[in-house]
Amino acid sequence: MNNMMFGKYIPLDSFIHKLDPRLKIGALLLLLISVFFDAGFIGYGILGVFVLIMVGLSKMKFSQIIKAIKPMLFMMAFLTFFNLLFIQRGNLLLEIGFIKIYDQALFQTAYIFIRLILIIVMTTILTATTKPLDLTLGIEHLLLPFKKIGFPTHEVAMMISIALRFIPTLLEETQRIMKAQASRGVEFSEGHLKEKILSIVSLIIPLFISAFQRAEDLANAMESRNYNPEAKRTRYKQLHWKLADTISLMSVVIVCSSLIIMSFVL
Amino acid sequence: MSITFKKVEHIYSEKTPFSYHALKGVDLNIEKGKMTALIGHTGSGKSTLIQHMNALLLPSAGEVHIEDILITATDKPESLKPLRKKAGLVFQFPEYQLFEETILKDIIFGPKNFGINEDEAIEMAKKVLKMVGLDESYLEKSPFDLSGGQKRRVAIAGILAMDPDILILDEPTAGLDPQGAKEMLNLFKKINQTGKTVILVSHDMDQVLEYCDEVIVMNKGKVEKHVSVDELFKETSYLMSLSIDLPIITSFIHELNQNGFHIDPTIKDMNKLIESIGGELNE
Amino acid sequence: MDKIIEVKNLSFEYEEGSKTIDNISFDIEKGTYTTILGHNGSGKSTISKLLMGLLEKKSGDIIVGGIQLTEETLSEVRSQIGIVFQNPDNQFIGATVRDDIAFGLENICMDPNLMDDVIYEYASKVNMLDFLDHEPTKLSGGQKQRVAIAGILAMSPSIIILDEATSMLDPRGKKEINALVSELNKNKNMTILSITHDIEEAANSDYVILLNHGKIVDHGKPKDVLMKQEQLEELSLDIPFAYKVSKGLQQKGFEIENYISREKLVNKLCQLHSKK
Repeated sequence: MNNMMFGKYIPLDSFIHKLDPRLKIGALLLLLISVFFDAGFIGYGILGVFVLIMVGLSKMKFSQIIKAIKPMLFMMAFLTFFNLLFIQRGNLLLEIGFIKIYDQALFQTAYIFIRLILIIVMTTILTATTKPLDLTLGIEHLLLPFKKIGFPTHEVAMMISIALRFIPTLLEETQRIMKAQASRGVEFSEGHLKEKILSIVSLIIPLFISAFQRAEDLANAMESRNYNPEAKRTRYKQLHWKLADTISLMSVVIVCSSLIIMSFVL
Repeated sequence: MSITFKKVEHIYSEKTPFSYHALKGVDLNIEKGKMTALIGHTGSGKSTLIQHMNALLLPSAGEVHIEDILITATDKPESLKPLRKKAGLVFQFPEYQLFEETILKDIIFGPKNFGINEDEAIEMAKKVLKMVGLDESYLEKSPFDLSGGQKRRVAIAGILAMDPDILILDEPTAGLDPQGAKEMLNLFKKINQTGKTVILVSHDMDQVLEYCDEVIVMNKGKVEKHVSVDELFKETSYLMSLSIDLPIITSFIHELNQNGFHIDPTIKDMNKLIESIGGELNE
Repeated sequence: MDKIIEVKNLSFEYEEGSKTIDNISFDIEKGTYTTILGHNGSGKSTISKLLMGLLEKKSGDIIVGGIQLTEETLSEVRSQIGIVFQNPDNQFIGATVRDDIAFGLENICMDPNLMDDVIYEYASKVNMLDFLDHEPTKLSGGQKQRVAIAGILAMSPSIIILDEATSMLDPRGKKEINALVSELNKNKNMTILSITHDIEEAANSDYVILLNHGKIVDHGKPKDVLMKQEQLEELSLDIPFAYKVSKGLQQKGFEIENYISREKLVNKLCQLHSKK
């Protein structure tokens, strides 16, 4: 679990780290949208350079980016394989038995491959440079307009931040219960289906019971400290939009709009 | 020897930035049939140590012998089940491991995993339930309808039903009221008197003084001392340097002795204490 | 003396017909340290939840600082009381120490620009200033409880309830919390209500309430309540150590009064000894 890089915050002091989470989330959305406009290899080249600049500005090591891509490699290989086989357009390039590979398939696959890499790297930049709590705060602020139509923005944000707070605690708990049941002769990795189901039940039920207990305790603790989801609250963490954020937003908008324009012109 | 550790090391998440050296060259011999206390601060390595006793953790280096079973960094038995049956480990707050619909089913869960047939397991369940102080009417009840203290008894019964030769208990009385704690410890003493080896992780020095034969003191991943209970509590300044509390009776004697009394610091029993104080006041 | 908590004929039941709290009345005076003693299941933790308005009473009155607890005054009453629960993990709400102390301040709508000063002040009061950006998983139980206390103090209550707040801690954690709480009681005149089964803690408090099956069995000064050996045994509570020793010495023919405080007994014995 500890080796998972994807989605993990990396505490560094960089230009990107200091940007406003609202900007980073917004920019990611814009970039994700423009990835799906077909701006040809030149377009992807521009985007690729832009992403590389962002990686550089975030002070992340190249190996950390590779680590983030790694878990996705299997899925990407899978997609590539099927695309190569099933797209049957354009000129036939290669034929081995029933396997036929067309040039269009090669293009399409390369496209998908590049898009996926870009998406993963861009998302990694967001999560690696933004603390989970700041992400929540950013999402909350971006959702604020929806409050007018009755969307429970604050509650959702509170739920996300409590979930984030309790993930490590529940992981620890899971490990503890697994060990306790292993001491009673459960082998989680072995056995027939029936035994396997029973061993999973012996983990899940205690985990749920303890999670409910925690939820009740937590609700009591929150209420005791005068929390009321309907009442007005102030927020300790304030977001400050800076000049750097405006400039960054402008450059993202320029890159994205030129990609979109290119996709229509080409 | 029941349990032997030879130069055991344990490093969590080895070769990562999070690596943590939890056990450092632990040598240990625990005799069969003794009731041994394991004490030390949170983070001293107690919990890592006991998890080696039923191979929930494997040593990074060194050897662990549990009776006739040998575990090393590279070599472990093909199946760990015989070991886990032999060394029953009761985790802290064991009530959180209950999951079956009835108490009977929960107690026989362990024995059945170890291949004991159902009839025998049920007989065993009846026996251990009585040992932990609950009658047979509880067998068909749901464990989740019980009080906290009763749940813990059922969870411990679930380990006792595996009939382990070694019983390892990680702070079994945490959160119990004084009466509940006393009953629990009397149960372990009784089990110990049937010839089983009992290892008790505890922060409560009064329990250690009253119930245990020997004490192992862990500090910073090392076994600092392995001595008899009497010997340990003579060394008041050593214990204070580790900021380990003295048992209430020992600390009372210590306070008196610092003010001119000469009372034997190994006294465990109230009557003897009163006699000694009386003796000195009458001199 | 000012009564800061008044409880009158309070009853509560989880299930219809079986009273967890059965018609109890007691007062707590301002600035005192009161302990509620009882074995597990005696209803003592239910009392703290009723005082905080986390459970709805069946009948009776709860008056805190002159305010009757009702649906409308809930937040007013809660702002006077801070409570520390048993499980250190389940009351840590923020992602870091800093955020956790801020949580309560956000609820009372404090100006965010003032929060940092308040956070520093109370984190330093509980000796956690070096841990402001630590996550709860990296803290010990005692440290988490200290953060809980800082979070409470930051909201400046006049009463702190400890609901078995040290029962899951190791001795070091217990000592830290006990020392902090008695300092708050002595120097800041904070009213403390501690729900516990630690007889030695009760022996050193100002007032003791004994609870059994949801009823108050006895209450009064420790020296009046904790010297009734039979009653304590009946409730499966411990007997104070000093009382056992002084009783034993009396039986040996020594003229010595009954003690419940170890410290006082040691002083007395040393006095007798030096006269020899």
